[in-house]
Amino acid sequence: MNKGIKYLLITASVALVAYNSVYVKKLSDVKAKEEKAKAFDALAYAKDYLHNKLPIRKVEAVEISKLFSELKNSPRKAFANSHAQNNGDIRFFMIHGQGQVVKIDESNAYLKVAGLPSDVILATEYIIGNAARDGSGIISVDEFTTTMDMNTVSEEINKLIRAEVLPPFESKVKVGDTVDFVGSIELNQTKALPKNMEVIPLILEIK
Amino acid sequence: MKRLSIAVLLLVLLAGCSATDKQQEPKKIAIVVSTLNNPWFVFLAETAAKKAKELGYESKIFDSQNNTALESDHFENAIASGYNAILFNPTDAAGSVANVSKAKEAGVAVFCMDREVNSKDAATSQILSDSYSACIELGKLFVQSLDKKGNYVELLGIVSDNNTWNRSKGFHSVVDNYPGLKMVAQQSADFDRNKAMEVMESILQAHPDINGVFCGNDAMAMGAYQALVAAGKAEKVKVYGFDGAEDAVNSIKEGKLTATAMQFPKTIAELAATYADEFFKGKTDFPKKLPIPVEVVNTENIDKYVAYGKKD
Repeated sequence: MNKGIKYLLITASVALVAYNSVYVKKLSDVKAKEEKAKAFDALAYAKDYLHNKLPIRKVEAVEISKLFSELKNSPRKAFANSHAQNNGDIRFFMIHGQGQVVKIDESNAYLKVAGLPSDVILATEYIIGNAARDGSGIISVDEFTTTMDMNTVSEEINKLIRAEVLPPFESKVKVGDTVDFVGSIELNQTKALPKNMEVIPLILEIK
Repeated sequence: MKRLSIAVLLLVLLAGCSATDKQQEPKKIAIVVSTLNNPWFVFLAETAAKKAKELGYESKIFDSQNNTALESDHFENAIASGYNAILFNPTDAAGSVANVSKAKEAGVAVFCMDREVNSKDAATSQILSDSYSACIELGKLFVQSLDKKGNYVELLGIVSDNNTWNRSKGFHSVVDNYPGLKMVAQQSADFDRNKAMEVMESILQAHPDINGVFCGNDAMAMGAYQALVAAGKAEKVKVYGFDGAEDAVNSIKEGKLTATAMQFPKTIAELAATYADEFFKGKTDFPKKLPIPVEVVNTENIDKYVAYGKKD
């Protein structure tokens, strides 16, 4: 074989192997990709909570009139079954119930529930706070690398309620309808029991 | 052979004595805080030192001056000087993880106070103010006091600290639901009173028509208030802080600041020192993260509170 061709072939082979062996990437791109892969996906966590974990654990929700009665008669016992990420005065409960819609306005639906002296206020506009995250007691701070992750989960759950739970309900509900609800309520154990229980909805069904 | 056996026996006895001496050496606790240029952290550090002394331990306070490099030096010194535990108020949630891990590798337990590090495992336990939940409550009060409308300014703390964002996010998770409330400026003043005054003065030049200021701590709230007084707008603008520091509590009593959120540095510091004591006595099962409740303080309930806590 001609020597020139031989060297040319060897050089081409070495160049081919070298080209396929060495990759040049920006360090910032690699780091950004790694950070993205490591980043906590709060939306996915919130979806799993709302779509999978919560429906399984909804049997643990306490019937709302039973809770009201217990809060009135033995509050210490009632609050012993509440949840929160800290041991402060603001506590959360996961409740369920059935009621008849007596009024609807831009912020709430009002339900008459047997066994309760006043209407239940079902929030339809202001879905805020940690009630939806903490009422069930399923989520623990120890699961998260940072408290920021846990708090972002709270925001994502609230957004999902606004985006998924409320629109089908609000488009159909009318005064006189009977509604089955699972939700969370927030109560301050140092304050008097509010006249109306305010519920952040988690699962709603018009019968 | 007999001499050799005696020599070996003596060596073993000496080694045993040395180990026993080490175990019986009094334990020492290092208290590393982000800054001593803020009375809240001075109180936190001094309370931790006082509790450590009550529990029978020698302790020393190290000031990181909000500088992660200095904080790293303090950790190296503490490890080299034979401290057995570190009660730690981090400077940087991400940047401080390496220091905590270094201490862990050296067998020194770290208990975080108030601020967290971005790790589940590096610290033995993290005792943290539940800033997010408190700012939800502050946000509700802010909305109510501004009657759901108006322009407002937010002064953020140190941007690398998780408390800064937990406070901001908690506040916005409520306030952003009200379209009548418009944030005209959001700037960092690093939790610093003088800087907050300067930042606020500059913001007021561009946005003279504001109704509220939400600040990530009391020092910044006091600085912002000073700027508002200088501009003749203090009467009209509602100023919110966070911490429960002495001047903020007095200011609420005098009707200057509208509200703050009372953290409980005494609870946090004493619990951290107690955890260190329990760790020395063999306990290993601590909560990884323990959020401590924070309470909203305004003119309605100010009588229940003093600086850094509740009245006894």
